[in-house]
Amino acid sequence: MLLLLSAQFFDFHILIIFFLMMKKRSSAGAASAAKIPAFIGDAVVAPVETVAVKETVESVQPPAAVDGVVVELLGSANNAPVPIVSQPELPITSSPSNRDKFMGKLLVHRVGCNLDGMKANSSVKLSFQGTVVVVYPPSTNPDRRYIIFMDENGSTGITVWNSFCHQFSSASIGRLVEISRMSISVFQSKKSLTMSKESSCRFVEGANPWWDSLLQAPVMSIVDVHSAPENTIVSVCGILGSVVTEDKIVRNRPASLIIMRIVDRTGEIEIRSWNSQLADFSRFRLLFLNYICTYQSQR
Amino acid sequence: MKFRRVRTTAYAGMKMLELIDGGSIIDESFTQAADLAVFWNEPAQAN
Repeated sequence: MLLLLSAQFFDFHILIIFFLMMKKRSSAGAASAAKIPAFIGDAVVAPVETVAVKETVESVQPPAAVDGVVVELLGSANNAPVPIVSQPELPITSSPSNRDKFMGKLLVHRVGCNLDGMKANSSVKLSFQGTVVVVYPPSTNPDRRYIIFMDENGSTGITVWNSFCHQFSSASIGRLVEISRMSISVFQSKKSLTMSKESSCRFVEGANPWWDSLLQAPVMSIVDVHSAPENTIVSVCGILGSVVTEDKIVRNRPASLIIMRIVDRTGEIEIRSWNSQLADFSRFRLLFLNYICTYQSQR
Repeated sequence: MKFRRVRTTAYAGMKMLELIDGGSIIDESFTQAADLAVFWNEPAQAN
């Protein structure tokens, strides 16, 4: 009887010890691998420290990405990883506002009469300056007038509207004009300037050096005039051969066109005038008859 | 005759000059007049 009781007590103790050992093993594996003891006879016996470092690095996630901030993770099996934020290394980035300011300075804001090589957005408001060379008759509904401006670089035509239309007349020829807040447009690969409601127009007071210098320009031979570009101001000389007048109808109004023909050693050319009268050239017609007589006597 | 400050223009492919209203000046005596007179008084070339 005593032996039976002692055997049962011994088995009970063995069961308790085995139960405690199993409980300790399972709890330790769930808590941390660092606390796992290396059991003899396990299939996989990994170094305790290696497992700890691996799990530490994987468990610590780097903070959210921040521009210009470098995060270093330092740690070991014994020390918890501590993110150390180093000094930010700011990259050289372009500021949009600074870039826009720089590009804005490169844009054309003032134009002359040569628009061929100009690069400007249609939304950019431009200031224009040129000398009035040709003033066409006005049109109505709405009031408008086509003006040809020139300068030393070229020529361009602009339609002026409404109140600005009445500012121009034949007396405006040769005067320097400044028009602000114009926009550029392209039609059939040809650029032109357009006035808007915000545009303003004013005549520049004072002398116009470019216009005055044209009177001192050297005389061009007629053959060179034929090869000169259109809308160029030149000076020519020659023998006047004929002066004739033609009656035209321009915009339902009669107009007198004076046509003269001159000749020099290199060729001949026609000179027209829409605003002159035949009487203005009567003295030249007498000279013309004299030349004819001389010409016939030579023959 | 000397035409100062005239504008070149073209119509139907033919180049011509146009007087600028109030801008062009016509001179009867000028430096090149003598040369033009010589040119005009040259005997005609026999073809």
